[in-house]
Amino acid sequence: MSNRREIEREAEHVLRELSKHLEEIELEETYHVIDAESLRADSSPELRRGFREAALSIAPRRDGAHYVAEAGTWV
Amino acid sequence: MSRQALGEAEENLARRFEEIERRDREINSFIELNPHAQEEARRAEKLGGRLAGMTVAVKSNINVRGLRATCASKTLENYVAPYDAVVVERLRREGAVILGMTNMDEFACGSSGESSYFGPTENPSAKGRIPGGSSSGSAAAVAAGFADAALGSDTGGSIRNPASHCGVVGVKPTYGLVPRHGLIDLAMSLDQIGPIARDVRTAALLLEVIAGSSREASMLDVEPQPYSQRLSADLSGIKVGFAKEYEEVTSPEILGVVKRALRRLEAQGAELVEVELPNLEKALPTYYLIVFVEFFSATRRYDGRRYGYRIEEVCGEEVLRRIMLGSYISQKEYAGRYYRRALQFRSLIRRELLQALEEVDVLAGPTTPKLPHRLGERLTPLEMYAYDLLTVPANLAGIPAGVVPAGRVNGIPVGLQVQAKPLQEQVMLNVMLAAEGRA
Repeated sequence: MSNRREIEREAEHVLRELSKHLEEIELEETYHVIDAESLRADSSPELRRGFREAALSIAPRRDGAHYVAEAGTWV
Repeated sequence: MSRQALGEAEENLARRFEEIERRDREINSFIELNPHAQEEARRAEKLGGRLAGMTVAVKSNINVRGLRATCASKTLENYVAPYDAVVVERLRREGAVILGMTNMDEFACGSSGESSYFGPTENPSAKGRIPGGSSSGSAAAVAAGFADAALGSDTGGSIRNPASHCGVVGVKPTYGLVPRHGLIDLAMSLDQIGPIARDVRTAALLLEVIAGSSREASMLDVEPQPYSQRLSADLSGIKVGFAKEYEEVTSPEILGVVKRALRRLEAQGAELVEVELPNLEKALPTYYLIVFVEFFSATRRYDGRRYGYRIEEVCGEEVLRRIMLGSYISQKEYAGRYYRRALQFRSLIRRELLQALEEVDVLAGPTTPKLPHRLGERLTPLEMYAYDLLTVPANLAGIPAGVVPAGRVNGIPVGLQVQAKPLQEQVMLNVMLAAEGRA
């Protein structure tokens, strides 16, 4: 674009002018506090009971208690 | 809609198309017309619904399956939407007929309707003037009588600003009330889809159809409300706030129209209360610093691989300027000088607005600080951004805001802006109804 330099110059001016207005007031830093009461520790997984049965019940192919995702063949 | 009216859906559509054919070459409000509209009108007649046969124009940044969602850009010039946005699905379900895709500022980056790749839109209500933006085509199409209603999107005033300049009604709902799934974003923490119509009743009807939670979108969990059935122009017991800071930033001729509108509300039972918004002028820089960063982030998908062109190679000046600014701020943000500071101000402005709204039911005041300029007149970027001074606070705070025609200055329409607490659209619409028709 031929006037790219001009646009850049205008952009710098815009940023200077806009940010200047936000420098006048001293603001308090605020933090979002997360309620950690129900936080799960990484070392204590929550097991979903019945998950294995549910997954197996919809498996397209199974081998006993195992879900067959891909069956290798000799080529 | 009555049985008799249902039979008129196709006629209504034919009339609209005739008008578009006759006058839109001059106004340039549509980018593309829906080739299946006739079929849809026939189906709407059979199905019925709350919007049966109503013709609705859609801003070109909202997906309508089979039509181009160009965002008025060369980047997305040939992008055909593969699905309907949730709002469009809801319109169709109630029998609305999608007329076509309307013109807008490129990627919604503008307040005048002049920056479209497909050429500027003319204001049908004030010849030779800008229609406002960025939903320029949607407001112009409704004002010109091309459509019964339209959908626009509002990030910092993009529905309300053109509604005011074109003399029609526009509503920006509470953030999260209307699903954004299918809207091509400008700044996702601020964008909202909303209706534009010739009167408050139609805008209320459209809003009740498109509002409410959706499986596809992460948003407020709210049930749709029958706004149009509960409309009432009785303002007894309603407190209307006016901030004295509005007077410092608005041109006297606009203030004159707004104050006359406020006196009419008072005559209808409302109590006028003066409120304070001491940081009103900080809203504009806060808004733009946030928009630059969010827009820059949103445009990274237009890298020339999936969507035709690389955006920086084909976009207009304002889009490029915002990309440059967003990129610069993102690089320098480690010091928290711009974006983090803007977010802090956003909280301050939201708190201030909600505090003011604790004292009153609605805030009423001007929509734009100045009248629309002449088409083609060259403004600096900061002069252009100044149009948004009074509309951006509602987006920063996530509150609903609507515009209704209040009067004219030398034949140019001026809109009254009404803002309410989050999810208090009904009170806002009631005040707008009371102000309507008495301009």
